[in-house]
Amino acid sequence: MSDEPVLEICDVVRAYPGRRAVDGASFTLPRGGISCLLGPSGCGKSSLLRLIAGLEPVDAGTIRLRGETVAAAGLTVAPERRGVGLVFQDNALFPHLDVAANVGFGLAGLAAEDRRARVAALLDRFHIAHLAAAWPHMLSGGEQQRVAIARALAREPSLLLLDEPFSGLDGHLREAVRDALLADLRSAGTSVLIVTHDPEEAMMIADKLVLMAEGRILQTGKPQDCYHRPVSIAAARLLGDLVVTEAVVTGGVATTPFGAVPTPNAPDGTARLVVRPDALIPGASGLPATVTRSRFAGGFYLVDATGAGGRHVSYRCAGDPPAAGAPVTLTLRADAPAMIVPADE
Amino acid sequence: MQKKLVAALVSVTMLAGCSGGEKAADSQEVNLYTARHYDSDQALYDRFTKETGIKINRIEGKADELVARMKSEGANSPADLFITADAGALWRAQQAGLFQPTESETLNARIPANLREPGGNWYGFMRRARVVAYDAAKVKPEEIDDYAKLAGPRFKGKICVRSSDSVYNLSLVGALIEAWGTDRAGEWVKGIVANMARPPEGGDRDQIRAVAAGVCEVAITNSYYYIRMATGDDAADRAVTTKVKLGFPSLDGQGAHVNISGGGVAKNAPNRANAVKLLEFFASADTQKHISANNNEFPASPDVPAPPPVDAFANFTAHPMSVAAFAARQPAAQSLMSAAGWR
Amino acid sequence: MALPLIGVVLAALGSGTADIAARDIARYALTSAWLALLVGFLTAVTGTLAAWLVVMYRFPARGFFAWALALPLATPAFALAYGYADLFDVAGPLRSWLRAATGHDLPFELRSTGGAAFILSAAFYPYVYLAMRAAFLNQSVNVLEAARMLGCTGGRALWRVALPMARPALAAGVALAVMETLADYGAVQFLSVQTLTTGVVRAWSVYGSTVSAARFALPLLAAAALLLWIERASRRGATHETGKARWRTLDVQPLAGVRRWLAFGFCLSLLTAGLLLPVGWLIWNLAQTSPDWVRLAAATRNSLLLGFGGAILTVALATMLALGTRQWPVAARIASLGYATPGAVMAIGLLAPAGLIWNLAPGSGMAIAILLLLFAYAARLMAAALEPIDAGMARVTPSMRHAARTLGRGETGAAFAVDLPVARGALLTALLIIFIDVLKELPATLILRPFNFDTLAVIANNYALDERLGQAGLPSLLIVAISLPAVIWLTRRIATARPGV
Repeated sequence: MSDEPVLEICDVVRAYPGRRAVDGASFTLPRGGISCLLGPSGCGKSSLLRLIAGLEPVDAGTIRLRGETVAAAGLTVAPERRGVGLVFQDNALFPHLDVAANVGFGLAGLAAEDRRARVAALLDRFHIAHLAAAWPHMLSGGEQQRVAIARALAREPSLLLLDEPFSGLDGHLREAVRDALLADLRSAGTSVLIVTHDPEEAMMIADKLVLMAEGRILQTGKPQDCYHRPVSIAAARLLGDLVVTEAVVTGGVATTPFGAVPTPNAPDGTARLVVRPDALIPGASGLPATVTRSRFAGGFYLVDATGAGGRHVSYRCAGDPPAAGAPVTLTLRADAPAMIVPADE
Repeated sequence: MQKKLVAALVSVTMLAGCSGGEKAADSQEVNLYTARHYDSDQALYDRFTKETGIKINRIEGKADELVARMKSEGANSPADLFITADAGALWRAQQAGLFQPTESETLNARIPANLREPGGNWYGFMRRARVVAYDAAKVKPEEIDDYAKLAGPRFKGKICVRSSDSVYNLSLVGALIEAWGTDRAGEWVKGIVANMARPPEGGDRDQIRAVAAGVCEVAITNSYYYIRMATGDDAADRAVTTKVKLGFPSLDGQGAHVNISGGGVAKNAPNRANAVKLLEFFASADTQKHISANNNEFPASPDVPAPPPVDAFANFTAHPMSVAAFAARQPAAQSLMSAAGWR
Repeated sequence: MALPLIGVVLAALGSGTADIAARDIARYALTSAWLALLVGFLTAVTGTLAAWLVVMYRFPARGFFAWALALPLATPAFALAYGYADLFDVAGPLRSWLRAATGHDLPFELRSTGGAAFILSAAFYPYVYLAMRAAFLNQSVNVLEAARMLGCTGGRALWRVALPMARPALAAGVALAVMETLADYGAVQFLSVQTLTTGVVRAWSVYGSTVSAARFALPLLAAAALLLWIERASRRGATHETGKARWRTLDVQPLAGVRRWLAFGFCLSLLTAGLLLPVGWLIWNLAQTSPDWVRLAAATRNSLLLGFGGAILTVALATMLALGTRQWPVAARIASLGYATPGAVMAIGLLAPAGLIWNLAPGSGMAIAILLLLFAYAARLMAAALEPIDAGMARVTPSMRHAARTLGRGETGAAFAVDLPVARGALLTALLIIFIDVLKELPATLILRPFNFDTLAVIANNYALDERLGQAGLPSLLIVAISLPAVIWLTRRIATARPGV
């Protein structure tokens, strides 16, 4: 019972005139922890969120919450009866209610005394007790968000959905605000699904990643696994830059411009090598290239180079960068994860 | 679905039919649709209720709005009696089939034949003459003793008159058409338009005051507007009438054009008997006197002498033309006047 | 709510036409167009200028004018017409005195298209004033300051920056004024200016042809639809401009020397033209009348009853429409058509559906008759209620509504818990506007009211028809007296409102 998934999405389709926003998406979320639904803008992740919340009907497929089917073709359990909390990108605080009343909005069924106690507890947990009597338009963006989250948690939903929660926060504050908020969310013990388009943020905060593109789910899993062992180039691209080159597999070893890579399971034939830029290092053997430019990127330099055959590659360089026009030979770091995929993918 | 709808409609209609049948016949009420709206009328209604015990419910409005409303109400109209201050409106109501013959001997006896509809559909109980007010300093009485003279060159640029939207103007021109035929009446209308001192504007009182102000020498007006100004409380108005006199032009030497205030019993009157009683009450000598004294119209019955202050102006000859005859000419009159450019 | 309009269209399809000369029709149409154009122009100029002065400059009594300039909303256009026609009558005391004292007459005639345009503009300029005032207050100070930095003087900043930016508001305000002009029943008729409405009445009353009357009405309805479209379209444009930028207090510039008194004089003359002069004259004339107090008291009671009843019903229906037509906005637009529909047309249109009810419920008890009348008000005034309510509810974002859903409210529950409370100010505004409009309403009241039931507007109209202006003054003044508190409250609320709050 306790390891029953909180959310099961199965072949869900949602079509708008002219396009399918969600096109056969499937994944499950375990109970507890923070998951991130990651995908580029327009990939259908916000639509999927609205389908889970019950704000739109599904055209096909099923959505189950705690084992109970809440959406299927012809069935849409109303949002207010799903036990799902949703925090909107714009927070959607009610302008006519003060903070305490906003947080208490979903508790209409409770006795006044219980409601007050519950609201006070929530305000405390999210460190906004001092704002109880404030009005939404007086709050900063971060404060508004805390109110919105406290409000969504008031009804103790089994699943809390957050739509791009950190995109409105800026600069150096962003990280601190985010971490504090996530700590508070974890302590609340609710299952959380966060929609974001920022891969670094997703990897940093998620216990589980759900990668989405063009209406479909590409991969689910721990951030490290998704990053280092993507199931496809498309999935890999979602999490960061890629270097893709051709390779020839013969007897469990792929021959690549950067040297040989063992690939025990790949069939013989032409294939492609997929690595992250940080897997490339200057070395003795490998791909000869000419540096075109170097850019400072904080802790390291990002170096662009043109290899034999006009191939553009980039790699990270921790020390002083090479000058433009300098020759360099690029090879794969020995411990770097590399993926060999069939040539036709 | 459709069947249900039909069934619902049928049952509603039947319900309506039932309650229609329950329309209390001749209760102690009478429903009056009236285009007259004078404060003094209230005293009349009170007296009627006191004398007969019949309560008067009334809706006041413009004649044509009331006619339209009665049409829309159809067979279920609560209207018992329709009263208005122009024969044309009565004629149109009759054309719309809104009246029934009253067949009241009292009314036939009290109201002269030319002031009622020959079939007994409606009766006039007050008379108002459409005559002229003239600048006594500039106009000799004999220059305005005939309607035809008003259209002559003598009054080029000297006449004030309101627009052809006024039913009283329509009735006047209708009477001319009845007397002279369309062509001659048309010439007269053109003559008046040519004689206008200014484009038609305002009401009859405004025309009279314009004469006093020197804008024109002659104003075409209803008699009671002048009498009201001459005998009312407004000092400025009384001053106007010391310069401006009331004159009664004649049509073919037979007398001045008179219109009526009158009414008829509604076709589907739920309280028919009470409606007749009320109409007879309006035609009574006392009522005619009361209205005349307060509203300054002339009584319709020859045996009712005009009370003061109207009596001073009542010494004129009225044209014997049937009001029903000129009433029917109103549409033709409107067309003539529009064609001549009478706004 | 569209029933009266459907009634008009159906009536137009019948047969049997009136003999109205094409030349007359053309003349009526031209007069209507000319009148609408004049009122549109006059209200645009005066309303804009007044709003600009009050928002941008400091001059004597500016704070008072900020809200007082909207007060003519309380005076019915027909009351203005009574007052002015009497005051400026050729034979009236003013002109008689002028002629006697100077030997010259005033070079204009009030009972003319120009005179009607003046009177209607004096009555309707507040629509433009209020819209422009809000627009000027809303627009970004930065833009105006940028214009200054680029060398624009105050006046040129108005012409080159503020006005183009406020164009949607101007269009909306002028459209309202022109719609009111087309819908006017009492004033134009009293001034014997012959518009298309005259054609409607003439076809209807002289020729007894509802068909012709309805056909006259169709182009008017088309014009009404066009105006409504302009109003909506320009409002759509306006919503783009109110960005999220922080609202900053505008620096009000003091006016110096003679210019401050010019500004003062201009605002005072507007207020005088729209309220003080005609109302003052009607009050002055009261002395000569002996009012029928019993009847007036009953009419006042009836007016209040209809005003409150009409306001509540109309606002309730408008709220339902506003909530229900988010998916289908055309419905709300059609329901709004009644606002610009000429009174006489409305009267014809109302009779068709009313006839159905009269035939189904014969005898028309008082309750049914009043209910019918209240629905007629709703049909006629829907736009006036929908507009502020729509605007108020625009503050509720879809996500707020959805948030309420995920927090356990059903669709209706969300409307009650979020939409209505957020828009409560707008609802109150709509209530008062409808209340004021019902007090002034004529055609529907005239034609649909039950037995022994007069309102102040009806009594005023009856006296005026009978050329008893002195007596028509008192009921008109009572209307002003009743609506004035509502208008003052309203305009003060609007005047103190800050954008975004």
